[in-house]
Amino acid sequence: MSIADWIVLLSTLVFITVYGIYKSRGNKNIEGYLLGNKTMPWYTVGLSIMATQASAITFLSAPGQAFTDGMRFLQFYFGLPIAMVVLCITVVPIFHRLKIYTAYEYLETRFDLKTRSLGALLFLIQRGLAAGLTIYAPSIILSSLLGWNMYLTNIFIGGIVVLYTVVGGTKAVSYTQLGQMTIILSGIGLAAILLFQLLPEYLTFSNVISIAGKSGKLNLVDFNFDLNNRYNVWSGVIGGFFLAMAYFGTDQSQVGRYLTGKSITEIRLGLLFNGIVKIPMQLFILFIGALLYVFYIFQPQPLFFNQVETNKVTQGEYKYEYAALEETFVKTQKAKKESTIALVQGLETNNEPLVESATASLNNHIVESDKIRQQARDLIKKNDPKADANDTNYIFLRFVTDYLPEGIIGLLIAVIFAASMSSTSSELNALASTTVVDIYKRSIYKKGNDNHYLKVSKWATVIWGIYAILVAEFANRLGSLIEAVNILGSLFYGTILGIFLAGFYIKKIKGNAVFMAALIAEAVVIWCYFYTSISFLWYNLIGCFIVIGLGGLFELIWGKSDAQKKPTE
Amino acid sequence: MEQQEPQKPPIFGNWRAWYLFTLLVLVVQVVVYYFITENFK
Repeated sequence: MSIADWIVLLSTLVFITVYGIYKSRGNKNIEGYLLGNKTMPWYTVGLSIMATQASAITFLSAPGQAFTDGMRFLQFYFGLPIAMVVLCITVVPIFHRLKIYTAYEYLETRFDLKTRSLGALLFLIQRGLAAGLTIYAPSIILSSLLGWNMYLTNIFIGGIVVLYTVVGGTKAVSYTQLGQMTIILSGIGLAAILLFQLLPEYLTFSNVISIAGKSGKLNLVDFNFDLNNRYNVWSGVIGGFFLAMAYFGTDQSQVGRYLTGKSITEIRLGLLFNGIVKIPMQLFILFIGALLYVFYIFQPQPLFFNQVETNKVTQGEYKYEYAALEETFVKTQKAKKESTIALVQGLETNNEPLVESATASLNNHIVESDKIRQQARDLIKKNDPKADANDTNYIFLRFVTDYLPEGIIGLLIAVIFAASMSSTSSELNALASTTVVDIYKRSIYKKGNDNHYLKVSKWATVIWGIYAILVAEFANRLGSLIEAVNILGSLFYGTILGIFLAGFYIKKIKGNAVFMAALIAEAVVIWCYFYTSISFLWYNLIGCFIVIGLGGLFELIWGKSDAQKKPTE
Repeated sequence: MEQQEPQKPPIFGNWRAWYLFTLLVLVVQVVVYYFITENFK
């Protein structure tokens, strides 16, 4: 990175951090620290929700995923707007009326203490791990780009987040997220414009879309129902709906964001804003991946995008095999380029037979180059079984460092940092509030005053920050990070959502029944993960239905036996 | 639940219209993306 890049990166980080701390000064009680005294307007709520969900993982993995697998990942978000509407109608008024600090407080009001503690613990387990992944994601950039030590990078990123989250609490989280979203959106927009300008001049926008489409990258919507197909409309709408319900309705890192809204109106508008804007934003990020695919048809594409792993294999015992693969890959890429040029000519002259033959030829070369890339991955793995043979997360960054001008690289690194920090700060704030409100204050030490709990909250933030940094150190073998985070969420969300839905909608189910059902549901979901090929999006549905189904059944059995016992007691 | 919200939402004046609008935006997007998928494959 050049000096200009460093100046842009560091000044952005300093500005956002100082702004967040400055705007959140004067937190003197626990309500101010954890709820921001409920003063946030709808746009802060909305942007805060979006910034929490869109971590660095989103910006690293999504373009890479579109590059390798097409834009079908978009369908994952189709259930989100429906979930926003349902939450606005049902959950928001209940949470607001109960004046709660965390989502899990509701579970004690509705069921009992053990169900509240179970909900809080499941959240702490999965969110603690996820917070580690959100810190790890930008660390891989710096470690591969600048040769920084990844352990120190994790500590650096985690340290900044812990600093402003501890000092300013939830208000600092919200205000920094405003700045972070501004940086993220402008940085990504700029990257797309520059990428488009780097394409050959004779290509029109329509040509670019056609090339991306014929290359199989615009596979946005698939109506075929298949349980084993990870992304289709049905898994997106149904599975995505349940995942979004669980994430936004029961995950404290999101609930904590909208509980800062100053009224129900502001909270609802913030959630609906997210429901309307989220899919187009995600489309835009994925589209960058499709654009990158077109770009690399005309520019030399690396056989493998992670330079660190490439260096290892080219210096190891398989260097000649790898060099041979590189040679074949260059030839295939050249043939791909020629087919694409023929395709553009066919499109420009409305020559249908030429378009058809060029498309067929292009697809053959795509299959061929995918095969070569797979062989390269196999060699990398053979050379070093511990090597990271998935380069999805490196595709966008490699383009940024290889082709973008000085200063812009710094800005895009700042985007990745901002995205990671915005998610991590929400997570740490939520982990601390759940630990203090649902566990410490409720079950360990009830007699403390406001000042005591404020201090404990700050310490809890520090401890969870350290834990997340430690998780980040071990997170480098998880494949596509965005999927890893969503899979991790899906392992727990279904069960948590089932507990909450039983609470909201099925009044007959009581604490003992829902508690037992939740334990069984969690065991079944984990079994599905290890022993079946069912797509992870369905875990939310499975976990949720088991909790509600078994909860209802247990209540029926136990309720009857209780009713029979009562007259004799 | 609606009774606890004395304040009317902006623009549409009622929440039902806001919810329908949000869902309509979703449906329009799915239709548009479907046509993009089919037309450019």
